[in-house]
Amino acid sequence: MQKKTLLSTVVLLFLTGTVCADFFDDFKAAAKLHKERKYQAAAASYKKLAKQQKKANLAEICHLYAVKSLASGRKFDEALAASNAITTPEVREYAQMYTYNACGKKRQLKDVFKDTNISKWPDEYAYLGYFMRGSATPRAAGLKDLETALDCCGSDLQVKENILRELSDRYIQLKKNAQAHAALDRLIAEGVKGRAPYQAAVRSKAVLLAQEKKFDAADKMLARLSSKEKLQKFWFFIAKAKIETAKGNGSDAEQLYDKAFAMKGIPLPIIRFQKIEAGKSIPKFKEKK
Amino acid sequence: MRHLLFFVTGVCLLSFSAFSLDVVRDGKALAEIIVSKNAHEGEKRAAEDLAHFIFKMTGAKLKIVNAPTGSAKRLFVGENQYTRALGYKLPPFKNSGYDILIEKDYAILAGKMTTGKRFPYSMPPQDSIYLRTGKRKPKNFPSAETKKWWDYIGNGQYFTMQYIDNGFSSYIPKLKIHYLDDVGSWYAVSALLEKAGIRFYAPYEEGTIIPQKRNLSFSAGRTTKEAAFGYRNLHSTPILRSSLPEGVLWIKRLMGGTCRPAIYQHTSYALFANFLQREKHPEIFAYKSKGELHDGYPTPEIGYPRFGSKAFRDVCVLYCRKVFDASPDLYAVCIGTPDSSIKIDYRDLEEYKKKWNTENLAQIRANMLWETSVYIAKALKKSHPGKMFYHWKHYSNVPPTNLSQDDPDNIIVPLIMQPQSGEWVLKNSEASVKREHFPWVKLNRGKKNLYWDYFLSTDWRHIPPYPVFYTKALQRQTRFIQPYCDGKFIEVPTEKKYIKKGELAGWNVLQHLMMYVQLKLFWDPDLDMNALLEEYYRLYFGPAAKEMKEFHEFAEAVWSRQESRSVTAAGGFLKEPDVKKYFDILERARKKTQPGSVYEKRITNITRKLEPLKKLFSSLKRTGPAFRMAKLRKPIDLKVPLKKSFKTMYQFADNTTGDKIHFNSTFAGVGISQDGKHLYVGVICYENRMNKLKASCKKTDASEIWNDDRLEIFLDTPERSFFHIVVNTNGAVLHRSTDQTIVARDTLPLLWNPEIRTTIKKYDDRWEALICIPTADFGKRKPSKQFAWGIDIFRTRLAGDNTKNPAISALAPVGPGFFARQQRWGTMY
Repeated sequence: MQKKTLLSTVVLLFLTGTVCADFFDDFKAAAKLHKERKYQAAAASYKKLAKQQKKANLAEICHLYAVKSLASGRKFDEALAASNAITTPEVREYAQMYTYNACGKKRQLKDVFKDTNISKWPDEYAYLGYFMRGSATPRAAGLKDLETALDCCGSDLQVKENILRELSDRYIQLKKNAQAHAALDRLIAEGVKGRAPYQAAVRSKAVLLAQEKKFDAADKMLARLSSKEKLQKFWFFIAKAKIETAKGNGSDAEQLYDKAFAMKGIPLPIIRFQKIEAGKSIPKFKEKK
Repeated sequence: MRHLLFFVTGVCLLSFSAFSLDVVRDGKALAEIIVSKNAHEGEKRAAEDLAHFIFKMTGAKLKIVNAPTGSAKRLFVGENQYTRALGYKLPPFKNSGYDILIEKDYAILAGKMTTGKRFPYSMPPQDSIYLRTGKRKPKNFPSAETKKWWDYIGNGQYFTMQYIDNGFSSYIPKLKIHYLDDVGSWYAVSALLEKAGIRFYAPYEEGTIIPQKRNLSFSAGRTTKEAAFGYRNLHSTPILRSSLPEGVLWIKRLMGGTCRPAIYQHTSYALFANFLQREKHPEIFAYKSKGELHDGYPTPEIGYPRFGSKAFRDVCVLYCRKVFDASPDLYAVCIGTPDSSIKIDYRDLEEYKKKWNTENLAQIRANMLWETSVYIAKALKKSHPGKMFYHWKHYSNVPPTNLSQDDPDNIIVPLIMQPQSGEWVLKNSEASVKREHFPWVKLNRGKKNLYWDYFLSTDWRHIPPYPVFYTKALQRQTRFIQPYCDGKFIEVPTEKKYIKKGELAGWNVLQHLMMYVQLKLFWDPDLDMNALLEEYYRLYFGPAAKEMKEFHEFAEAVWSRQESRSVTAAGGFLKEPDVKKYFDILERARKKTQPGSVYEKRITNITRKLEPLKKLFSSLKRTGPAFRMAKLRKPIDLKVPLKKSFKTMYQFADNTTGDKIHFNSTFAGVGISQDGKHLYVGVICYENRMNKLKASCKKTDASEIWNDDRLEIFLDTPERSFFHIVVNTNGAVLHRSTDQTIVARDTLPLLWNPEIRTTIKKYDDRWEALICIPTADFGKRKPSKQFAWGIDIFRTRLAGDNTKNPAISALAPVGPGFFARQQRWGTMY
C-alpha cells in the first residue's frame, strides 16, 4: 500500500509550532490585562505581538485589539493613531468608529462617519457599525441605520437585544406606537429572560399600553416580570408610577416616584431625567468652581 | 625441546600461509579482480564493491580486469570461462544462494543469478498523470511509448502501467540493475567482505564498519550458503526514486533480492483507474446503483472495478498474459485490488447472496475475489503453464467458502502480516496467526506464500519516534513462518527530507538495525542473535558500546510490554519515566565518545530523532475546558430541534483570539447512547449567508471537502489517540485515525472507516449537523471523570468571501495553525 495522503494539511502531532503556540498564549495574556482594565499594558502587548507576526491577518487582529484596549481606557487620540496600523480600510474604519463610540464622542461619530459606506465592511463589523452610527444619530435620522443593523445582526443576540431596545425607545420618542410595539414584542419574544433589555422591554411595553388606556394589558405585562426582576426596584417603581399616572391615580404614582427617588445608589443623571419625565422640579446644576 | 617448539610454530605459520589466499600485504595489492566483460551489471557492481572496500580497508587498489593478466592471485567475481577452466561448478540452489571457494591463489565468488531484463514498454509520467486525473494534457498525447504499450495490449484497452514496476522490479539507472535482481555473486562478495570484518549496518560509509588493516588474506576453504527465504523485498518508494543509489546498494550488500520475481502490487489500478477506460469500457466498472459508480480510492471519481464481471476478469487475464510475455522471467503476477474496502456491484450482490446462501458481505467479497482468481488462474494455466497467480487476499478477513477440488494449482495466496512484525512482541501472536492465516495457507497446497509486512507503523510522520526494537520477536516470527512462507514484501519508512537533501546519512537512524536484522534472518533464521547484537554495539558505537547495549535492551523491553501500542494519557506501552531514561542513557553514551567522532555522530542522530518524545506526555495532558456529555436515554429524534435534544450546548470561540463568537455563532452538544455504542455530536452553525455556503464535496474521504464550509471533530480516548472526522454541509464525511493500533489494522490513517452517519438540516439562518459516530474503535472504557475523553470541534466558515482567510471557531480554541494540539483540546465526560 502506498503511503499516500489526500490531506492538504499535514497533521503533525508533535510539532510544537513555537510561533503559533506562543501567539495564542501571548494573545491570551494581553486579553487578561484588558480584562483587568490594564488597558495601556494590554495595548502595548497587542502591539508587540503584532510586530512579531509574519501573517498579515494575525497582525491586523492584534492591532484591532490594541485599538479597542486604548479606546476602553478612553485614550482617544492614541487609539485613533493606533488604528492607522490596520491595513484593511474597512476594518480600520470600524476600529475608528469603535474608538469614537467607546470614548463617548457620539456627536462627532455621527458627523465623521455620516457618509461612510458601511455595507462594504465585513459582515461581522457591519451590523455593529450600523448600530453605533444609528445610536449616535438622534431621533428619526438614526432609524434607518438601526433598522439595517437589526436586519444584519444575525445570531448576535446580545446586540440584537440592544438594537431593539434602542429602536423601541426611539419609536416611543417619535410617538410611532405601532413600530414601538413591534420592536418591544420582538424583544420580549426573542430576548433572554432575566437580562436587562428583556426587563426594560416588558416595562416599556406595560407603560405604553397604559398610555394607550389598555390598563389590564399593561398590568398583565408588568406582571410578567419575575419577583427577582421586580427587585430591580427603581425601574419597577418608575414603570408602575407611569402606569398609575396613565390610570389617573396621581397619589399612587407620587408614592411610587418617591420610593424610586429615595433609593440610594441610583446615578444622579438618571434621577434627574426621570424627574423631568415625571414633571417634577429638579435643583439647578451647581457649577464647579 | 625449544627447537621442537620453533619447528612446530614454523610449520604452523607455513601452513597458515600455505592455506590462505593473500590479497594484500603491507598495503600493496597482490591480487586482481576478474569479472567477465559480458557479466551481468550486478556482478560488475559487486566487483567494484570488492575493490572499493578492500581499498578502504587496506589502502591497496586492486585492478578490475575482464581476463586474468598473469597476477599471482585472482579474485573471480561470477562464473565465466576462466572459472570453468579451473573446473569450478556452481552448486545447485533451490533458493537464492552464493558460493565462495578460496584456494591458494584464487577465489571464486559466485552465486545463483536470477535477474530481469528491462521491461520493453514504458509510459512517460505526464501521460500517466493525464490519464489518471484528466488534467494537464501533454502536448503530444499519447506519446510514442504509450502508443506502443497500447498497441501491444490491443483489444481496445487503454491500460496505464501503474505498479508494473518494470516487470521485474524498479530499474536503478545508476547501478544498471533491477532492485530485486538476485545477484548471487554480489552476495558472495559481501559475504567475503564480512569475513574480512566489514559490516553493512546502514547506508553510506557512516553506516559501514570498515576495519583498517595492512594485510588481507582469507583462509582456504569453501562456503556455500542458501537463503532460507527466496523473496526478500524491503520496499521503500523514496529510496527507489532517489537519484542516489546508496540505499539500494545497502540492500544488495545485505543480500536483498528474489529468485522468484513477482508483481505483487495494486495492479488493478492499471486496468481501470483512468478516464479513457471509464469512457470506453464502462462494463468493467462497479456501480452502487443505476448510473452511480462506486467511489474509488484515492479519489472517488476513478471508480472501482467490477470484479464479479466476465468483462473485467477477461481484462485481468489479458493483462497477466501480456505482462508474462513481456517479462518472461517473472514467476508470478497478481491483480491487486485498489486500496480501500472491496466493493460489490449492485447487479451482482443479489445473485451472490443466493449463490452462496449468505447475507454476510465479508463472505461475499471473499468469495467474489476467489472466483475471480480461479477464473484468471485457469486461463493462465492454459496459456502460461508453470507461472503462478497471486490471489489478492488483502481486505478479505474470511476465507472463501466457494472452494473446489477443480481450483487450479497455480494460485498462491500471499497474506498480510497481522499482527505486524513489530507487534510480535505481544503474546498470542502465533496463536492469532494460526487462527487467521492457516486456513488461507491450506489453499496453497504446499506451495510457499509471501507476506506483506510493514515496518511503517513505528515510523509514521504522525506517530512519535519511539525507539522500536524487537530482535527476538522477529527471529521468533521468522522461524515460525519459514515452513510455509517464501519471504516478505516489507514497506519500510524513509525520511523524505534526507532524499531531497541528496543525502541519506542519518537515514532511518532507528530503523536500520531492524532492517539489518531482518535481512540477516532471511538467510539464517537460527543465527545467534545475541552475538550479532553484541558485535553491533561494539563496532557501531565503539567506546559507548555498553551504554548503547543498555539503550537498545531497555528500548526492546519497553516495546515488549504487554500493553497497547497506543500511547495515551491513561496508558500504553510507553510510560513517562521511560522517556527520561532514554535520554539519560544516550547522554551517558555520548559522553563516552570523542567529540566529532563517528560514534558521537551516530548517538547524536538517535538523540535528535527522539527529541519530539520529550513533549509527548505533556501534549497528552489536556488544558482545555471540560464539557459534559449527555447520557441519551433514547435515540435522538431528528424532528426535534437540536437545542432540545442536547440539554447543554456549548458556544464556540474564535480559534485565534479565544473570544466567544456571537455573530454566525456555533453551538455544540455531545451525547452518548445508553449502551455506549454511539457518540452523537450535534452542532448548530448560524450563518447569515446560507446561500453562499461552500459545498462541493459529496463523496466520502474526498479531498474536495477541504474547500468547503465544514466541521472537524477530533477525539482521543484513554486507549486510542486520535480520530479526526470532517463533515460538510452536504453530509459528506472524511475520516481518519492516527492511532497506531487502528493504522496497523487498517493500513493507512485515511482507511479508518467507522460508518459514521450524518444528518444535515438547513434553515434560513443556520445549518445543523447531527453526527453519529460508532465508538467500537475508541476502546473499552466509556468516558468518565477519571478517564475523560479528549474532544475538540472546529468550524471553518468559508461562506461569502472567506476563502482566503476562513473564519475558524472552536469548542476549545487551540490558536492559529494545526488543530491537532491535543493539550489544548477540551475534556469530555
